[in-house]
Amino acid sequence: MRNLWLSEWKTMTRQRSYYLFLILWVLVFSLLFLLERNNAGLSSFTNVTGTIVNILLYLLPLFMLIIGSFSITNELESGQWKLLCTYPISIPAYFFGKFAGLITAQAAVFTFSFGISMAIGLTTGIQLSLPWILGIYLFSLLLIYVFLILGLLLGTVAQTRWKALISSVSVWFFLIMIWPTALIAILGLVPYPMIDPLMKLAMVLNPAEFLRIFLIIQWDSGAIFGGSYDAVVHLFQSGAGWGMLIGYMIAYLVIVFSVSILFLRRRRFL
Amino acid sequence: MIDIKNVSKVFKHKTALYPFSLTAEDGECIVLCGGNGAGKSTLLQMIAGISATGDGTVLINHVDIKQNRKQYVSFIGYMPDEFFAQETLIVTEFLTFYGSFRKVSQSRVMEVIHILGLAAKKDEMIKHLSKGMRQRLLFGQAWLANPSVLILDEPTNGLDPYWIDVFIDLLKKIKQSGTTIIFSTHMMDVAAEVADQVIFMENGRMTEAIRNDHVNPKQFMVELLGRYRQKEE
Repeated sequence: MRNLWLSEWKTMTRQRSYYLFLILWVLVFSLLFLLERNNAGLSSFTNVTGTIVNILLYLLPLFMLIIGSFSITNELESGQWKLLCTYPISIPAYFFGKFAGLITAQAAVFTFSFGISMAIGLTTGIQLSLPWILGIYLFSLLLIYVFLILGLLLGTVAQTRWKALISSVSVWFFLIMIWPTALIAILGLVPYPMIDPLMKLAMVLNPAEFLRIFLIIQWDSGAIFGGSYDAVVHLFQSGAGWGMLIGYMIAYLVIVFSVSILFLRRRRFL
Repeated sequence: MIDIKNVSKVFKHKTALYPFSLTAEDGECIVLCGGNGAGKSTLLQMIAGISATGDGTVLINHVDIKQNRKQYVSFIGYMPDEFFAQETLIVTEFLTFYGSFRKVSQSRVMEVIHILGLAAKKDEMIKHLSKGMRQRLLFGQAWLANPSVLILDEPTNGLDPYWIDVFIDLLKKIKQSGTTIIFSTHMMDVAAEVADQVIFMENGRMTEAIRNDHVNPKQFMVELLGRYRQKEE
């Protein structure tokens, strides 16, 4: 598994596009931090924080879905997957190795650019609080984590890069862009007593939504969700909140990986 | 040793390989010849364990892939026809990566790089290699762990005359060490030099199997070319 991780890391970090991400993140964060220069300081959920969270929610999932799915379909198309099938390597090891390489590379480039932007922000006089910085950073890393895993799953289903791109954009559009509208539309159709459990189910089904709600609640701004989320706010603010997040992430990894491995087994022809 | 029994392949509306059987002993070299779409690559992929075998079976050293995949693949080395290596990997890294799955030592990696004439390019990225060099590298990947069965799909594609000669000599040495070799080619001179048996295929069927009883490879090549021409006409 270590060799797969290393190979994925080298392949990723030697691509020019990898450094384009670095420039993109530095540019986006620096501009957002500079936007807040005249405000008192970034320490909780403000309109600027909301903008940053939204931009992260738009960009990170799309990029990660495409990177994850391409990483698999590229190997299916290039013949590397077939060649690897002639080696004594298990599919879970292959999958974990690839995932480890991808997440290391993406987390590294994100961390680096976040650091540069922060330095730029601090030199221009912005006041940043540590919980706020850590909140945004952790939120971003978890978005990278969940959408890379989902991207890998899409890669195992799609046979070509073109199909992977279409499915990545479709999933992104559904989970990120259309989700709130779809949720309101569906909730308008169901009887009133079902709204509350359906909203909670929807939150669990969409990892981006789960992370967004969790982050905002951790910043003591859970009130913006209204009364329907009172129980969730209470739960996430209690001692069990972080345990739930960890449990959710582990369960998500196990479920999505298991499905992906099933698909890859079928791709091995035997 | 390879033991193929009644393997077949049917795609949606086309039979790519009709029931096919073949046995190759240790140290034997089988060459598959035939035009495009004859079923050579399909058969080689079945032996390599990356294509379903229909109702038939492929045994390598008496092991069936369906019963023990790990052991089966530990016996083989496969060189695909269509392969696009990770362009940004360095030559040494590429072989080290594949070698690591079969616990190949770094000294063996360097030995293969030298034998295949890639020493001057060992620190260069694959994207800087020519077609012939990539072919040699891909062959190196298959041969690296000294497998007991070597499966090569069009290994001479893109090789210049000098490297075709080197390749022939290399295959003879590998054969002498007891490795079973099966490969496809359109080059009758290569087949005549190394084959113990040449199998002609056409439209998914074995049309003829010729044993190499000739002392002189040139005579065998003339015979093969004659058969090839006959079939093409």
